[in-house]
Amino acid sequence: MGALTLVAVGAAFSILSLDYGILGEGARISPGFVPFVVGLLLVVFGAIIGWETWRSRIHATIGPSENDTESKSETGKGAHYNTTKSVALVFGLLLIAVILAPILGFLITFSILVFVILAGVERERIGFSFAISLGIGLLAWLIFYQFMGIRLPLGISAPLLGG
Amino acid sequence: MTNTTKRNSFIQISGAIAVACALGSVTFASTAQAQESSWSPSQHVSMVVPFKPGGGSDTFGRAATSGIKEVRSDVEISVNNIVGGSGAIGYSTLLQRNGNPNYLLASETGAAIILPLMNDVPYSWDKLTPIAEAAEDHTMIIVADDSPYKSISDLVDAAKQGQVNIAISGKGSPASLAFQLIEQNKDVSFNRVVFESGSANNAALLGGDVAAAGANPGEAIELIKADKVRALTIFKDERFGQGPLAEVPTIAEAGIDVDVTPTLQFRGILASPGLSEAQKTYWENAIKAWSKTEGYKTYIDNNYLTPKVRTGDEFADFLAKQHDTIAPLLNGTD
Amino acid sequence: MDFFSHLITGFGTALSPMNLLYCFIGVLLGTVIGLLPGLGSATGVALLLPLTLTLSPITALIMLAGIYYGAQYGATITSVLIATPGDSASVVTAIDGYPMARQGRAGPALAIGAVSSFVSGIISLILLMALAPVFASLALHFGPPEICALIVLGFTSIVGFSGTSRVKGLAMATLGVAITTVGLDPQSGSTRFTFGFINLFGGIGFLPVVIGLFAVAEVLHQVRSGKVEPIRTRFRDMILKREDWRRCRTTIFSSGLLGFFIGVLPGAGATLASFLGYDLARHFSKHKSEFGKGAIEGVAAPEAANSAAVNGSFVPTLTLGIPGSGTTAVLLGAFIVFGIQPGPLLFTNEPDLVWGLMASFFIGSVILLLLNLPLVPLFASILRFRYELIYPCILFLSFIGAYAIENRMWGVWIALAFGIIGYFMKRYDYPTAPLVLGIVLGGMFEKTLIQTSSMGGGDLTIFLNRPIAMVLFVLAALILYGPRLAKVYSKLRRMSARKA
Repeated sequence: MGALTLVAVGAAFSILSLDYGILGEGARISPGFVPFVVGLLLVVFGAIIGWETWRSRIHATIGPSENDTESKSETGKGAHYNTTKSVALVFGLLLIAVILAPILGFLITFSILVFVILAGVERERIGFSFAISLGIGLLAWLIFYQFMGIRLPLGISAPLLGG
Repeated sequence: MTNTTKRNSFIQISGAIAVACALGSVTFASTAQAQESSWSPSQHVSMVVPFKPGGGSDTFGRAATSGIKEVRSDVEISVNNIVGGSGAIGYSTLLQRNGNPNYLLASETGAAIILPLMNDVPYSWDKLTPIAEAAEDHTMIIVADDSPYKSISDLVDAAKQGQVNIAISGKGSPASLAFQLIEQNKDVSFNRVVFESGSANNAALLGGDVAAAGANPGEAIELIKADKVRALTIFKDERFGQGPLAEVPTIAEAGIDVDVTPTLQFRGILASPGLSEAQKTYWENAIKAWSKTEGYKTYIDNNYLTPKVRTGDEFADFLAKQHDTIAPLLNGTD
Repeated sequence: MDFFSHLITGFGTALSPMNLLYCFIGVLLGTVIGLLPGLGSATGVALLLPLTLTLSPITALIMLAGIYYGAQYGATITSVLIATPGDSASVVTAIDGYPMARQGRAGPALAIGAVSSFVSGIISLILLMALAPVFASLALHFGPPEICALIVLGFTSIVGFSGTSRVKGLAMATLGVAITTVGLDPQSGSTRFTFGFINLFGGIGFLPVVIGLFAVAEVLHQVRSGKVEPIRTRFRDMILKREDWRRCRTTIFSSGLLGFFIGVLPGAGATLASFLGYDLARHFSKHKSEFGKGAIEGVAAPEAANSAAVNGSFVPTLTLGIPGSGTTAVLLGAFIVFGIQPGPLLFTNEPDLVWGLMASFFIGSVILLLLNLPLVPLFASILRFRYELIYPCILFLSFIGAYAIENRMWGVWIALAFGIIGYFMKRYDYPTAPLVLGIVLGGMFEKTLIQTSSMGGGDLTIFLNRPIAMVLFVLAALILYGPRLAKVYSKLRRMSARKA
């Protein structure tokens, strides 16, 4: 999978860079040169990685490789903790937060995110989660917004925070 | 905690000053300045600097911001560096703030005029609202002090003989255009080595990697004073009146008769598109007022700029003229 | 004699109660800023510049230098504790610092960071004060071909950061270089891989990528692998042992000196110094196998190189007015705001200021050490909290940092994207450090390569006329193939011996 992605990305870089010119007047290096070469290298490295992975898979049937033991211990843990699902959940929540941040206001959105992760994903007590998210939100507001003067997007929270 | 209290008291004080100013300006407006604007900003104002902290644009943006604070004490304004794409990101940000008078842009020739001519960017200077030009910077051609080239004609002769390496910061930069004017006029060509900044040009010049470089007076002045580099010419209609640059011949004196407009670098303020007359007038007057302060003079002197204040249509005309003189030069290169 | 009288005036200036106070405030504020993900010294100095405008120039510059120093160390703290480097120069520190923290050795990691920064900082300051003009003229011999060769040398350190698979390391570094080519190239003025998106004109910023690859990816990784246990350590384990110091002594000196030389060169910077300093320590270490898994030299070396490089970057700044790093560029801007023209005459025209400033670097280093060593157990105690409580806050602060770097949402999106990329990289055992190295060096490599090419009018053989560049290339080849060549050589000798 990773190897294939590398090959694809490398090929894309090389092909697109042809538009920018590889070598210019008097064989001077042009803007396309480095992306072209780097793209080719990525294709080569990706191919090698793919080859090595394929070979180690064959070996794996003979003796267990390091990767296998790792995944075994993970399934052991996963029995009482559905982990890959929580990664997807946390990432999904982050994605939603980043989309909402300019609309609702950056600090408010991310404070809510902290609360949702704590209360929803980690099953902390509601009051405790609320206190932490409020605390970190206030701290961030003081340091970033008030003290350092970073103009974070306020969105609809603008009147609230005096923007 | 102390910070918020400090800030609150600051707001109170500035509020008090604002009231005092408002009272003052009532009488003032009715007598002296019939033109005084009916609008004033009620929200926080951002001075967008489209480049990293520390450079010429940033210095200008910060000077203008403290200048505006000084002459319009009721305005809450701060610098906001929106960096990237050689200025393209900052300019595009303003373009998206259509009709919002609370955004100002610290602008200069490179990103305002040259970049849209060279690349497919969504903005151009005439889509934004020109407020005022505040200063003008010039381009010089400098060589190391021990260089065999004593004048521009020496440099031109050398370029006729063989390869002469020159340092410029960016293809299409004012310095690159300055060399291009010489190339067209004298039918020679220089070998361009492109560096990322004026100080990188200087380092290359001092290290002997290039024969000549383009530089603003502010970038080169200390090296000139220390006898590390010499200026062969300045792209300016008249020489500097005094100081160490007074000996530097203008490009016309050096025997090359060209229009210097493309090589000028203006420093000025642009605003979002679609501002009302009253909003435009307010900011124009603020810049005019700043240009009469001591702080403005210090800014000009420290950076070896030429004071030049143009507002409104006059500024727009200058931008159009610069645009029209630069465009054919850039089309000629590719 | 002149030197000592200057030194005494310098310390006289820097030790005035007022300046001492502002130096302290600067170091404190700097540390706080450095603790915030993504906000490094350059941003810190720029953001706090307005606060200093009311002070006298020398006091203001001393405070700004204090911020510079403080921010460097603050970035180290987060690097070690939560694998979130505050700026590019502390990325390498996380490679061994974070594993140390996870093994309950956060205290020694932070302490050795502070101590090695201090020691190499003081050595490099003495070099700066005594020999700045000498180093400045040396730096000018490094034109584009030499810097290009130095970067090639820098790339050889990938091998040391690749973990189990060398080819994966190479692939990641190459990907890093590819990423730097996206955006509007200020030199050629051409746009590459932007597809008309205005946000891509600015390219893919380095710091948002680091925030994503390290902070966000580490959080996602921990969420998956069932969270780390809170670490309870006894105070005894918090302090440096004599054994730790013995292991790091020579590393601090050698990596420090190397860092100083790299810092002196305009544009090369502290990040390259920290990577090369780490690699140098690894090459000559007796505990090679521990590197990347919590070797204490792996923290000492990049920290020593980094802080020496910071001082080195003041050489071209103070002697020529040519900034040696992003942060000194901002400081030069501050000089001009205060009406001081930085240039070759600065030492002659403003001796009080220059020597006062350099003396305050000394004092700043001392304050930094005194402030931070006692605080080490306090910082390290963050790890006593349950990870479930910390990681939402890490995400919060990281994303604000990603926004604040360029003041736009784009950085936040990049951090998010590289967060998930980094997560999968960890899962499939692709090393992250070579990717970071590729992004750090890629832009500079392409730039100097193109400059060299245009200097020669398209002819790259001008490298052959540059002895320094050739030496660096040979050195790079030796690092890569030296061990293999030595093996082949000894085999040949054995064979010939058998024949005879």
